[in-house]
Amino acid sequence: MAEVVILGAGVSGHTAALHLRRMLGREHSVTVVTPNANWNWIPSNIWVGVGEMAKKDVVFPLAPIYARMGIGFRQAKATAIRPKGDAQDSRGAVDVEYTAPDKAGATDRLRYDYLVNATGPRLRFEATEGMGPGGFTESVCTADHAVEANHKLREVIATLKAGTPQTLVVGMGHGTCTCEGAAFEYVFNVDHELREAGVRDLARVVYLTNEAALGDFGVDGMIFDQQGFQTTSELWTGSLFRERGVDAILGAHVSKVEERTIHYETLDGTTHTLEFDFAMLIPPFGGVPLRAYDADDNDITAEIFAPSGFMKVDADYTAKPYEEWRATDWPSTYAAPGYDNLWAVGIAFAPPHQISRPRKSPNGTMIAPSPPRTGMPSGVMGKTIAMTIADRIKHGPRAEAHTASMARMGAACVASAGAGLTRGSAAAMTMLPVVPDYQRYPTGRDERETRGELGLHGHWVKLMLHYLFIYKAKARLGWQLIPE
Amino acid sequence: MSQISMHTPAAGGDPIADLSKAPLPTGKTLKMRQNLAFQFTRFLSFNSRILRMVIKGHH
Repeated sequence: MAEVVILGAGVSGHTAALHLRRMLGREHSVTVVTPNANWNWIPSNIWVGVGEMAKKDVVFPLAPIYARMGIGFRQAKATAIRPKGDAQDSRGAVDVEYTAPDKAGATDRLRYDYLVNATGPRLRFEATEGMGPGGFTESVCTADHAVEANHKLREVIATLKAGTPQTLVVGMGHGTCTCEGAAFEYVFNVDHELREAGVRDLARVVYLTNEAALGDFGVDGMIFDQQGFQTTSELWTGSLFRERGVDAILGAHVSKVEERTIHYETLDGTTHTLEFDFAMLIPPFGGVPLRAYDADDNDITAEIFAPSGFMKVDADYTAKPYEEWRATDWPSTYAAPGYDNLWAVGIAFAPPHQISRPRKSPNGTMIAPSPPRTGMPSGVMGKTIAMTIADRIKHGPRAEAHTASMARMGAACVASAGAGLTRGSAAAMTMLPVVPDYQRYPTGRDERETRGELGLHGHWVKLMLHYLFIYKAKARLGWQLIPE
Repeated sequence: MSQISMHTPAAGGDPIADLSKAPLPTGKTLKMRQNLAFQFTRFLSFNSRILRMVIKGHH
């Protein structure tokens, strides 16, 4: 009998848990440890943030799903991992602290044979003074944040209806943020809502981003083949900004937010302020605060985790300039070095470097998007790890690891630009691979599969993915047939 | 090389990206982006591309 413990129930952790349960006999246990009682389809938080969906449409309780599937569920946060066990037992262990109301604060040590770290991000609002729901800006990173963002947006729309001009700022709250796609989606959904409310002419809408160029999306931009010509995602995205009348401020690091004022620095080293009435800024991500100890209780956190808090895996972490970055730098098995029973997937793994060219202002401020590793790639990683673990349990520890490098896998990115079955719109992009491979493709990616299109169909795709992935996450009949 | 440059900010102004070189869609393009029949064909095309990618690139 083998015990598998999965930390986190986001896209990668939940996917790994469902597939492991499907692949393994009931003599083996699969346990998920997550501080949250609910699963959240985060891509649809954008629509909660503009009032097009309610919180109940994007979250559901995990406990009944895991009870039905035979997956153990501990509503707790992991505080430490002990990959070599402790003085009592040489098996690996995880220290957890319960967050469920009936056991809040209680601690436990869970033993494992295989451990998957899929803990997702820590939302580092504190990285920028005054940012976040506790400060002066909104967020759509959680369903609750999105509900609050919509509440504030409605107040601004009411003010606009009363005839008072307003400035709405959407973007990235720090120079090293990731998930530019989410801010891109939100800014155009806000624009769409303002138009629907008939108040767009009184509103100034600003997209404030750490991307050096529009359409970078933290993946170094894309080159599309459009009707026989190469087009950059920069020009393609710029067209949408111009059409919608959204101002863009590029290469920006937000240093501080005060009530109605954002302070930021741009790549040329100059500093600026931007007055606002409503702002939604995505925070930078960090790893969740997890420590690591050896069997003698010595702290080995620096051995297991990068300084960012993300777990080191089979990537090449050698520091080198952008020109020397290679597709092979990226991990493929997601195994922690030196361990054959410990993996990190989704946002939890430490990337070898950015994907976009890193830049610094003359003042030394790093203004460089961090690499995205959410959505489709996260799900693929979760399933890949599940296959590796299932093989090792069934065929022994020497069973070959399955692989899924972001430098080989593709991804679809559907960025909503307004909701509505007949009036909606989205920028629908596909890219293969996610991490450009300039040794393999002249443009870094497969031109046949790397495309971008704007239109109503993108909204339908995003809506379809919303229902499909919630259906899948609920493990309903045939869930395993829906690809990651 | 960035195709969309930033304006030199006026004193106290914001360094807004100059989008004047970004192509505006024509009226026909805007119409086709909302045309139900055409968009349905794009919907099918996009889904087939995702499926192809899942088969080609995931493992």
